[in-house]
Amino acid sequence: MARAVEGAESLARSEAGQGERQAATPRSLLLIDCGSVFTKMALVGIVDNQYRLLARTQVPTTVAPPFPDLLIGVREGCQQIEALTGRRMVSSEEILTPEQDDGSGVDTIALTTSVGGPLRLLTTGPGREALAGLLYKSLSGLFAQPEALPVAPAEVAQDDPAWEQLVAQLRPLRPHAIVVIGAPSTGIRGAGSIADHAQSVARWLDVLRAPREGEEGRLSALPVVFSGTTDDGMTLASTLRSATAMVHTVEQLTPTTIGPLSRALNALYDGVVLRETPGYTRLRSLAGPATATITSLAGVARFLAHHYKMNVAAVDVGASSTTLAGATTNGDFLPALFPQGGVGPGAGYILRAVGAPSILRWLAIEADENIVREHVLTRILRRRMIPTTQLELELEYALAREAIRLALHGPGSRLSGLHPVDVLLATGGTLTNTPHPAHTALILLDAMQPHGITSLVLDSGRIATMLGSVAAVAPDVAAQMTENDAMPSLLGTAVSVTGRPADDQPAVRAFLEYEDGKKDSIEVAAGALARLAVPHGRRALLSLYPAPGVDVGLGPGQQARASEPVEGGALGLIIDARGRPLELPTATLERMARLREWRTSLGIGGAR
Amino acid sequence: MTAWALDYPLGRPLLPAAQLTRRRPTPGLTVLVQPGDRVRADQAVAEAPDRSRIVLAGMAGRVREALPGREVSIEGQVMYLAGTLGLGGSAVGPLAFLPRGESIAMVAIPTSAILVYPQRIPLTLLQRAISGGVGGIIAASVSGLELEAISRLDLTALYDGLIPEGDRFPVPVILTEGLGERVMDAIMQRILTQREGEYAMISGLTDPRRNIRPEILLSLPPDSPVMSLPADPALVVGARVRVVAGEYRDAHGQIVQLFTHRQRDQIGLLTESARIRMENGLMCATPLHTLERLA
Repeated sequence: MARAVEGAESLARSEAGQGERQAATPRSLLLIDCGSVFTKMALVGIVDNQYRLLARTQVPTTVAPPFPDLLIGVREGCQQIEALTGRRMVSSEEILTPEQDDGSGVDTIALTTSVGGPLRLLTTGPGREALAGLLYKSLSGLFAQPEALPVAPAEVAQDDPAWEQLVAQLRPLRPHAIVVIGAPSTGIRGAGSIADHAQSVARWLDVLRAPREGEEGRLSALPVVFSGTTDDGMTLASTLRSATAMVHTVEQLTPTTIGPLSRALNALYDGVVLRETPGYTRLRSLAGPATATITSLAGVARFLAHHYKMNVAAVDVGASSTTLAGATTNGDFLPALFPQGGVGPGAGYILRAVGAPSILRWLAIEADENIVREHVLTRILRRRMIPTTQLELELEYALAREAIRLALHGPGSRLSGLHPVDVLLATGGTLTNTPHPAHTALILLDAMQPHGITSLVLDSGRIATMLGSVAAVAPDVAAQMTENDAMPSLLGTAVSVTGRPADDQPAVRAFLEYEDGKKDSIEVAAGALARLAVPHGRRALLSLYPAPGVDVGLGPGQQARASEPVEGGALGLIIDARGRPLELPTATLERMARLREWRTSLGIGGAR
Repeated sequence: MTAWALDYPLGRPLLPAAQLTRRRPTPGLTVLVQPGDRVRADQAVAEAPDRSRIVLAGMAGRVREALPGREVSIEGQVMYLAGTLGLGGSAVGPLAFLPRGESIAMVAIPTSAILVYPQRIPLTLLQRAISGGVGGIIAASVSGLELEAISRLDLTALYDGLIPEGDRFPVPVILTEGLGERVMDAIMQRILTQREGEYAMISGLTDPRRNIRPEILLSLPPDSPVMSLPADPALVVGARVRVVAGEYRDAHGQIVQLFTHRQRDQIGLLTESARIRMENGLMCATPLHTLERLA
């Protein structure tokens, strides 16, 4: 348990001050996760001297007409918790805090959110290319979407079509701020001088705040965050004095000074993105600053990695964003984010990024590009709708696969190189509410394509994204909650092999030896997916015998015997001998047949 | 416990009587009315000096504000119908249907009218209507690719707010049901049929992020009793609803019970659900996310 608290505290430190404002040892907590479409809420209280989950509910997020106020949805959620528990949560339309003598209200409110979308940043400066790695590290764990800002030409003729096209491409990004990275100090030459970049930024600021046709008034100036030397900061501020209201200078980016830029951007997220959300300011006055969903999920991944001494990757496919959070046994945090792409209103971003054929390739039902586009448009237009037909379900899961892949291999992602992935945690509504657990397992295997032995686990309590924010205000609560209520349930143990056997022999033979001496085995051909049931509550030792040239994670042909027994779960043992990278047949009918075959092998009966 | 149907900015897709204010842009035109004036839907409120361009009020009511060269703001009592998606800005004109039985390749296009086509509108008709000078189009549905082809827009980018050209589409188009093969809701079709020939104001403006939906405004007599806004979108026992997706799509009914626990739907997902008595007497369980509240 000590380890658990320690792990959670690392996140708490990043939210210094918030914990002090709230009760030191809360008797009760209200966890609120405001997503772009739904707001999830959970009430936590003390039962038998332990923090336990008392009630959980979900309501629509209310940030647009007819209810343009985040608090309306939150109050509705409170009323639902009141109905579930009999505990009074709201008085005179306000959440009761702290907890009253009669047991009503809560001591602490912890807020997580992805509403309002990511902090959209334009990055530039003489050090942007040379320090790109450090820049992405400073963005790790923030809900931010960086885009490169091209250098504006010093002289542009009126109505220059090339310049106008550049402006037209950039304006729709609706940036929140410009980040200027100063030249690195270590002998590496930056691209251009700070004076040149300052002129470029000044020009962009002028263009980006000019009103578009049909828009009334002038847009306010974008804030500028500069990371670099004091002298360069003064040069930049002097050039931008007339163009912007705010230039915030932070320490130069070096491997040991990533924090200042990260903290400045986190403050900008709260001040620029979240405060634009109607009702957020009042909710913030009750709960303190919100934690971004990725920050919260990162806390959970770190906690699990620390607790189990394993590499962990948590996957949350949301309606409007997709978040992956990896953490290693030695404390590395490996985030990966597709900040505007999800299976709901964010589906358009996925479709535009990968194209319809990449969606269609995951369908075992015949469909065409028009069907994909209409589905995506319907998801954009009807934000709360979820699939109602088998085809819509297949499209949803195809989008989920592509969303995960986009996040995993996106700019700045360090998760794609993580090996082995010992634990893959699925959380969020898309992955935790499926008709059959094998859907979740297949989405994870297809999109993440782990190699070796991986435990596939499910956040069946659907509170993982909230726990990180709890750790920020009450680390011991987060630790006890994880132990008591949020311990993920095992879907199955997946063995993913690479390589092909030289002849027709099986790619791998797997043997299970149960504690009572009973044995079970399976042979799996290359290209196949197979399952060996391990009932809940049973444990068995796993031995793997790959064919020469086939790798189960220890090297080609190397046999493996797990040191820890395989636990029983919904799916048991999964052998994925489809190879890496996973290749789908190009012929439509053959591909659909193969997809159906894989689903059937994991027990999905409804696949047509 | 309460669940809400929140797809419409005024709470429901159909409001029999509501008091609304709408602005009519009059850039560079001479304003013909003053604040306090009563206007008819088909009355000119601004015109160009050479009368080459006239702006109609669009809704019967009272002028609230008249800013010369900019806009006229009118408040009135209207019947409000919301669409699912649209393109283009606003238009005013008489509602017109195509004569039955005529080929859409040959039928005469009612110039300057708001053409109502209560089924999936074919690309040929869409093209003919736009080039034939209709004031606006109200259809049940359209193929997504065909709408993208005629608008030359990536609609996903448009509705994600990444391209601003939606309101520049030459003619407002409103799709009451959305994309695919859909027929217009029976109640909406009946209302529009009864109002054939009367002036309507329509807007194709659609922004899902701000829940701005295309709308059709039909004027009511002055001082008609109106409902308070937003209309209650709560899905509660007794509410009259329409099913917009799934097994019972397009059916109307009444909520008779809200399940306290999530139910497995037709495809196996756990969803908040209600028991509905359909108009044909059938009782069925339906996910709440597929319901729109009508009354």
